[in-house]
Amino acid sequence: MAVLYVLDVPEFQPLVNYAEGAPDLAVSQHGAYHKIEAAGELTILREPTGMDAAIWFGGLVGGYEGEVKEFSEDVLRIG
Amino acid sequence: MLDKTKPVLHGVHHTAFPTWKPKETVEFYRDVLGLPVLHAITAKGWGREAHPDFLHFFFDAGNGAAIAFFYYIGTEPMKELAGPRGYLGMARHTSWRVESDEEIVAWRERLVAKGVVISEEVQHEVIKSLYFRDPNGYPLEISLTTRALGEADAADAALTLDAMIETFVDGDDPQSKTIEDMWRLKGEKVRELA
Repeated sequence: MAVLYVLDVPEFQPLVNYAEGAPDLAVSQHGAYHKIEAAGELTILREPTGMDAAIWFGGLVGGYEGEVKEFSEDVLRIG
Repeated sequence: MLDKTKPVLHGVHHTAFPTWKPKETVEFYRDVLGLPVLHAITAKGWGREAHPDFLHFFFDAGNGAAIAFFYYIGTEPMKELAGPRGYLGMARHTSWRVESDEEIVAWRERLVAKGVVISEEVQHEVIKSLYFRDPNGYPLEISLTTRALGEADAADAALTLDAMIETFVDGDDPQSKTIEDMWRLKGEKVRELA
């Protein structure tokens, strides 16, 4: 199981939008944060989010549960 | 009412930097950027330590804030005045606020017209920035705030700073820790919030 917490602010909303459209990801509210969960691996592709690098590479600031397998310009994978 | 136990600040009065290029510095800040000259102090060196004679001059950066320089007469220039090349040379910088997209565009056009090398506009999390350097090599930035910060941002930042200190200073073997370790600890703190 993998979890990504995303503060409910406009600049990180593309991560939440992506997760809401991804069949293997569940999104719920967790106080001031969105909680994105995956039963297996949590994968987010950067390109469809439209996020520029300066914000994308700050996207883990809300914290996570699991292990970061990959965090590149193209993809974030938490397993 | 002034609370003497909790004094407050009201923004930047001035920041100051040494220069060994007094002419280029005046021409850049006064003529290229167009900042009004506010004040110039000229003084004989004094005090206990050997202190050179100097000038200390101020330019108006708006809203009561000034940027100031010291020119120490007859002294050897400091090496690596703005810091080493690369990211460390950018870390200590001055960023000025503008208040609209039109203002940031106007600055870009002015700087380009004056031959200043500027960066692409960078959209960060809550600001949009232009970067350039002065003739001394000091890094400068013009920033537009793109959204107001609120209580959730402050609460999140407080947790982040706790996670930073616990990971990289107070934790076991802090030298071996990575940003992923810090983010994992932050996740634990956020999980416990609900």
